[in-house]
Amino acid sequence: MARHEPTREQKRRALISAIALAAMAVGIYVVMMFKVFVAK
Amino acid sequence: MSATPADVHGHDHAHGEAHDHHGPPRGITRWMYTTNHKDIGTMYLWFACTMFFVGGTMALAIRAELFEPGLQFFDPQFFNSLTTVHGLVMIFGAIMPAFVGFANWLVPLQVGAADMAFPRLNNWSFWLLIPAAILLMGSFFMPGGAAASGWTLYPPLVIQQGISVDMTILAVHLLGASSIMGSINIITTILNMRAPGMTLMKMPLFVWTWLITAYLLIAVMPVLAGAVTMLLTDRHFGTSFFNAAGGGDPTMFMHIFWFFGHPEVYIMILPAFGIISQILPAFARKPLFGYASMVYATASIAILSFIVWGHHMFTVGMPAAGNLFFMYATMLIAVPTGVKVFNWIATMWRGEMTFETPMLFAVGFLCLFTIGGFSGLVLAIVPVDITLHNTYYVVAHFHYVLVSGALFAIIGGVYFWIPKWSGHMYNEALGKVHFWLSMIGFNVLFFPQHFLGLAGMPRRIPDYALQFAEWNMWSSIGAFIFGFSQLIFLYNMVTTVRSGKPAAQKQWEGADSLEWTHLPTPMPYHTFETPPVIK
Repeated sequence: MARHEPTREQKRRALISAIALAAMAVGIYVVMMFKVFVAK
Repeated sequence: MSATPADVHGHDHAHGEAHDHHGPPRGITRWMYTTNHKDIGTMYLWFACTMFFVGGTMALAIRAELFEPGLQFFDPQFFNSLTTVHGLVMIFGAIMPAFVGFANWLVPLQVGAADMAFPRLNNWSFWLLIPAAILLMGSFFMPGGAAASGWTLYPPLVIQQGISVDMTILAVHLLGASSIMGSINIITTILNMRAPGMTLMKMPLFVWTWLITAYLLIAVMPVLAGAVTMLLTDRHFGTSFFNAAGGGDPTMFMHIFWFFGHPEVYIMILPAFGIISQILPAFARKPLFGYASMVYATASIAILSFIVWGHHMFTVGMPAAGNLFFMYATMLIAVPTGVKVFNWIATMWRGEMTFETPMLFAVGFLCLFTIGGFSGLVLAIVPVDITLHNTYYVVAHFHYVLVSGALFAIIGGVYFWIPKWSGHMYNEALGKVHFWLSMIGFNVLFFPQHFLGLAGMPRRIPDYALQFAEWNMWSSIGAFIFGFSQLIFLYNMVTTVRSGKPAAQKQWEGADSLEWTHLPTPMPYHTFETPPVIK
C-alpha cells in the first residue's frame, strides 16, 4: 500500500505558508532589536 | 459534520497494524529519527510528564519550606532558585510541550491529514527541548546556583547573577525556537493539509484553538527572544538596555517581557479551551453549543491579549490614563471568556450526561478556571492590584488558571484520548480517585492562598510572619495531597499502555471528530493514507 503523499499543490502552498510565517517571526525579532539598538 | 463512511471500514481499518508495511522501526532510532506525528506527539507528552514531575518536586520542596515559619530546609537563595526554575519548568517544560503533544497527535487526525506538513521540522522541534531542559536543570549545579530572579527574569537582579543565567537565557532561546518551528508546522498543516470538504468552520474546536495559539506563539516568542538577547548583551557585551547604572531602563524590560508574557498566558489556556470543547459535548451527548461564537471568542481573546500587558505592572508608576486603559482592556477579556463558559454550560444543559474521568476533569476545569478568571477580574482593578501586587493572592489566581485550568484540561484530555491512542482502556476507578484527590488537594493547596494574599503575605519568600502560619500549613498539606495523587495518574497511564483492557473503536459514544468516527482502535502507524471526504 503506497503511503499517501500531499499533492504537489499542497506542498507548494505549505512551503509558501512556512516561509511567510518564518519571515514574520524573524522580522519581529529583527525589527525589535534594530529599533532598540538605533534608539540607543 | 458528516463524513463518507468509506474509511470507517476502509483500508485504514481493514489493513490495520497487522498488514501495515509502514509500521515503526524498532529500537531507539525509532524515536530519534521519527517523523511520524503520533510518535512525536507521544514524545512531547512523556517529556511534559517528566518535566511536570520535576517541577512538581520543586513545588513540594517550596511547600515543605513554607509548612511553618522559620527556615527549615533551604537557604533563601536556593529557595528563590526553586521558585524561578519551578515556574520556567512548568510553563516551558510541562504545560506548553503537553499541548504541542496533543497538537501533534490530534491536528492531523482531526483535519484528515496523513501527517504534519513538515515532519522533519517536527522532529527537530521536539529534540531542541532536550538540550534546553538540560541547560535549565544543569544551572542548579553552577556556581551561585540556578537563576533566582523569578521566571520573569527581571533586571537588574538577573544581570548580576552568575553563569546560570546565561544557561537559562540559552534554554529560553532554544525553547522559543522550538515553539516557533512547531507553530509554523501546525499552521501550515491546518491551512494546507485538510481533507477535501473539511472547511475551516467544520474543524473541531481543538484545531481552531491551536490555529490561533500558533499565531500567538509566532507573534510573541520573537519578542521574548529579543528581550533575553538584550539581557545577554547587557551581561557580557557592555550594553545598558536595562541596566540603570549605565543609563538603561529596567522598566523597559518589564514592558517587553509582559508584551510576550500576557499572550503567553493565553498560549497556555486556549488549547485547554479546545480540549474542554471536545470533552464536554462527548459526555453531554450533544453538539457543542454556539460553535461559531466559540471560534470568534477564541480569536477575540487572542487579539485582546496583545493590549493588556500593563496589568502586570500597575505598580511601576505608569500614567493614570495608561493604568485605566489596561484595566478596562483587561476587563473586556471577561466578555469572550464569558461567552465560552456560557456555551460550555449550555452544551451540558439537558444533555444525557455521564461522568467518566475525562468529564470529571472537564467539569472541574469549568468550576475552578472560572474562580481563577474572577480573581483575575479582581486583580484587573488598579487600586486593588496595587494592594495585592506580589502577594499570595496573585499566586492563588494564576495557579487557579494554570493548574485547574491548563493542567486539568491536559489530564482530562489524556484520559479522553488514551483509549484511542494506546488501544487500551484506563482504570476508571483509579481515574476517579485521582480526580477527587486532585480536586480536594488542589483547593486545600491554593484556596487559602487567597486569604494569605489578602492578609498581605508577599510571594517569593522562604520565611514569613507568624500570623500567616495556619493557612500556610493547610496549603502545604494540600500540596502533598495534590502532588502525590499525581502518582496515581502516572501509574494508571503506564498500566493502561502496557496492559489495559482493549478499548472500543469509539470508546465515547458522543465523540464525533474524525479520529473517533473514521479510525480503528488502536490506530495504525499511518492514518488517512487516503484522505477522508467530509460532507
